[in-house]
Amino acid sequence: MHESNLSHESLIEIHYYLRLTRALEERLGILYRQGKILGGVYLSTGQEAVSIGAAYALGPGDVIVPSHRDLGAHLLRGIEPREVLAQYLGRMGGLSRGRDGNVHFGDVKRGDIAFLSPMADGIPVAAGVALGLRQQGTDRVSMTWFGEGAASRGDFHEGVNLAAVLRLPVVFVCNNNQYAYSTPLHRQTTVPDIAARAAGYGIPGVVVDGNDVLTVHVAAVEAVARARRGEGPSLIECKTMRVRGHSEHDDASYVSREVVEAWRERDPIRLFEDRLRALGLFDEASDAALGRRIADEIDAAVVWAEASPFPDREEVEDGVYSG
Amino acid sequence: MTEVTYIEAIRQALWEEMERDERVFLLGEDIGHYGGAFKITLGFLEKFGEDRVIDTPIAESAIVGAAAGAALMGRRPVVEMQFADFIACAFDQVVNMVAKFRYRTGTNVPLVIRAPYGGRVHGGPFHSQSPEAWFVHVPGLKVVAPSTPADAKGLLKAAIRDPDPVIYFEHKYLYRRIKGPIPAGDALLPIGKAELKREGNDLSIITYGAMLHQAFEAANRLSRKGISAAILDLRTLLPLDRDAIVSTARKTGKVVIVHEATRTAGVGAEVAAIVAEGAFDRLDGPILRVTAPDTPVPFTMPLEEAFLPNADRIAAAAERLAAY
Amino acid sequence: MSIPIIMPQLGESVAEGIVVEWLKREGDRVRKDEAVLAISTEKVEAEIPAPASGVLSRILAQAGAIVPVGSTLAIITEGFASGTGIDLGTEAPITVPPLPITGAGVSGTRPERREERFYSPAVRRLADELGVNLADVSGSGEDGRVTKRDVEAFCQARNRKLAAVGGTSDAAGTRGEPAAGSDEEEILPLTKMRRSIADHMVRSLREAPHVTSIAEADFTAIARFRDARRAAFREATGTPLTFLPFIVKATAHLLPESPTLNARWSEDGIRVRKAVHLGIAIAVADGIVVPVLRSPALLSISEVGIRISDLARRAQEGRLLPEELSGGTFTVNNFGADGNLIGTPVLNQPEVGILGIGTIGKRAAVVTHGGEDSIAIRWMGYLCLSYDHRAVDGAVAGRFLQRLRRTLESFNPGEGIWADPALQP
Repeated sequence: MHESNLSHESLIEIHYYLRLTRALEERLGILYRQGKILGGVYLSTGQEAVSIGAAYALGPGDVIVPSHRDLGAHLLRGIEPREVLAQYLGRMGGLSRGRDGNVHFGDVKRGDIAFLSPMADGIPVAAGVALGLRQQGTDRVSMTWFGEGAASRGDFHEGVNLAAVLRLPVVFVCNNNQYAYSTPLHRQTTVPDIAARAAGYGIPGVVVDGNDVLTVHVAAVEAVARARRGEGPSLIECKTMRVRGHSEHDDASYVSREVVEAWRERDPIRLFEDRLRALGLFDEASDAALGRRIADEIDAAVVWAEASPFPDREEVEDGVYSG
Repeated sequence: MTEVTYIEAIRQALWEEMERDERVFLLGEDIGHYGGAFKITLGFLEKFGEDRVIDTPIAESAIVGAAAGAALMGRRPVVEMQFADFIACAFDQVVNMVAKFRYRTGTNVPLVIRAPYGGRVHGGPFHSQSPEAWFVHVPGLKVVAPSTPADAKGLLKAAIRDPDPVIYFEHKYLYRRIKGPIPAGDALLPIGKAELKREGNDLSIITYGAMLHQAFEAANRLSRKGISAAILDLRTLLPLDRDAIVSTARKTGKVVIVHEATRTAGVGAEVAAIVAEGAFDRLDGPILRVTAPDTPVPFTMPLEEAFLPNADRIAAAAERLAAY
Repeated sequence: MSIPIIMPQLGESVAEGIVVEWLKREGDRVRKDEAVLAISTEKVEAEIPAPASGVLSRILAQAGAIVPVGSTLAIITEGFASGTGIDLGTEAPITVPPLPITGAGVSGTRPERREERFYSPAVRRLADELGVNLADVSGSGEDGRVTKRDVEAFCQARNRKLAAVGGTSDAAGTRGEPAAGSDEEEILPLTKMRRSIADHMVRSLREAPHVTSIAEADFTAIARFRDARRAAFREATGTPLTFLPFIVKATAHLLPESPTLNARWSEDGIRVRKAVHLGIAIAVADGIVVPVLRSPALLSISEVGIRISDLARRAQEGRLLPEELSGGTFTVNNFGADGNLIGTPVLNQPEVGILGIGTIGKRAAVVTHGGEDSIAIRWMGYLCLSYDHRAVDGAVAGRFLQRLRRTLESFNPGEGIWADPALQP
């Protein structure tokens, strides 16, 4: 595990977000199985470190362009659990006010660009966000996540290349969880390291252990600093594993149980808690207290979200244009 | 009033808007150091600098996606597609990112995509298309297609200032072939308003783009035969000016719709439906369309001539309708 | 598809078991092999896994129930949902009706439709406004289609045949009908003009509430002038000088002051015509025609006289031009030429006013000079104004008639509207 310069407060904060993300997603799963959530539910179980470790390197003015398994990054930008739940439930309290579902939410004012469903669409957008930030004369950066499958699309190439050529202040984070729906890595690409492509764009590319939140964080800190210095984009590939189905409706029977179990042993939260325990920042009592605190937060969020109204049918044509 | 060419009107609009608002910037292939494939942005790089006149790699999808990202950060990008035909390469970003963003998040995407389109330039299938109908079918976009220098300038300025995404179809055949008066000052025109460019009583020709000028020629011939044709220039294709369309149809009772784009599911089909819905009780003849046939745009001259609608075909259709 | 959860046989000779507890509730989604309930038999306790993924749609054996081996504990409804979360439904597919077999079961052939004429919406509307029966109109458009111009032309042609004679408004006839073609009567076939006049009369009287107001005018001044000039006028122009041009001229000048008399009625409003074009009723061989004298206010008396004479002659000869048969705004009918004193003319649709002029002749009348009354011989005639009471009220009609009377009675040759170089001494 890499060393970082993080204070204990920061470590505890990271821990809180890891646990909050995990608990919130578990609740989403339960609501889904209860039939209260319609459509798809895509969880990031076992991959939380990729979102949280990297997003924790950003400052308040920076902007994220997340993918579909980055709930932790959304929470770090200040999106509240109750807004997330209302979004999934299709209520007005959700950030898309019922117009879009599950993870397709964001808030530009909080530096969070709503996820675009076609995989890799966010990569050129993130480059453009960085361009806009630079044009405003700031040293702010954008950060975007995408899967190893998304990296097969043309927009990955076009977006990374454009960012490299224009030396845009953007950090590209690849969440390589080995599976794109049912397509395993070896049917997605002949070169297992997505980071190897960075050389083709003349930008740095590193591979890190995606289940080690501090390792991810350290790599992200360096990439963000590079971008702020005006040295252009970087590519960070986080190796991890999708331990659940592609969506909650997918039993992922195409994945070997042994592989899944082996990765579950390396659960990022468990690994981090071992680390915290060694530092004296975590024990049974604090575990239980944190668990209760988070459960209460989520319970209250569920109540709020379920009380949030559905949009009015008459509104269906509203909001297509600003003017 | 001064008189300028269509292409000069576009250049003026871009220049004036960039001077007026420092958030406006350009992206596109060959637009900076080269001055643009049609030399519209010659001199812009020297005046406005690299940060506002960005030469991009060949990456239509990334250009549009990046423009969208910058627009979300409060900038006002104007993307130049070298040819409208290549918008297809960015189609996903246009319809999935740009068009839907406001509806699903409440945040608008104020960008403009300039698309040089149209034929009669021996451009062949990949440099002559009129693909406007693809985008008229996408809620969340606005689509304009000016026919005159004054309209070109006024609508481009309006597009740049519009908070919503606008696809601006500029007809390359008209670039240097027509000129016209443009008013002094901003001369903004409203998006969503058609213009009755010729009054008439016997029938209405509804059209846009380069076909406006073919329609005028046809109307002059018709008037020598005692047929008085009104001409409605749509100017904006999305949103269509339903009131203007219905009004002229109700007045004359006979409508000929003309566009250079291919026939099936072209914008003319939508206009015909609007006429049928709003003017049925005043119709005195079938709603006719004069369009290109359903083929890719051919290259060689005899075929391209046969493909493109012209004053002859418009006048012939109008005469038949007048006699109906 | 429905998949049952069956009570398993756990152990030999075990015939039944107890449902201890359901780990899932009805309506929950379950995954294949996920534990859904706990059971207990005399030999063993176990958790039963779901045999398939889907929704636990019906629990049949509640907790505490004793169930025999092999019985159904619950139903799982299997969904064909994709891994992307798009639910393709959990109901069993329904069979769509089989495709129809060609040739069999087709209902009897529909009767051949009579060929119908097509009228466009615009044509129908115009015909409605003008009161034209489309079946009567011949078409000059594509494939013989009736066009708007056809309807308009038909309407003008029909106006030609308008009978504005002093017919009574009593259109009721006797109902007793002797047998056709018998000794008691002879059938005269209806000409097109007769039919046309009949249609127009019926319609005009039915649609417009007719009222006739009558004024008496003293034509003596005009009569004396006419006597003095008629011979010379006839010699110079070949045209007789009658009272009619004087009346037409005065009418043309006065109608603009009574605009609602120079109009037509419509549901959208009274359509006042800005110009004054007077229809002059002319009797012809088998009926009436009403050619239009355009803008007579711009003509002198003699010009009016010459034009009317020309129109009448060509009307008799059937040589009127189509444009002379349309565009009228008001009609003048000189039925006095036939010796009628008074009449109640029928409106020439779609006009709202028609002036009938009775015989102008010498009568005894009271004249007042210097406060003294006496009987004198004066040229008198009745002016009979029929009007459409929807658009015109009695007061309006009355005022027009009085102005007309005064204008005629104050005739002064060469002055004002009566100026006419051709009629100077």
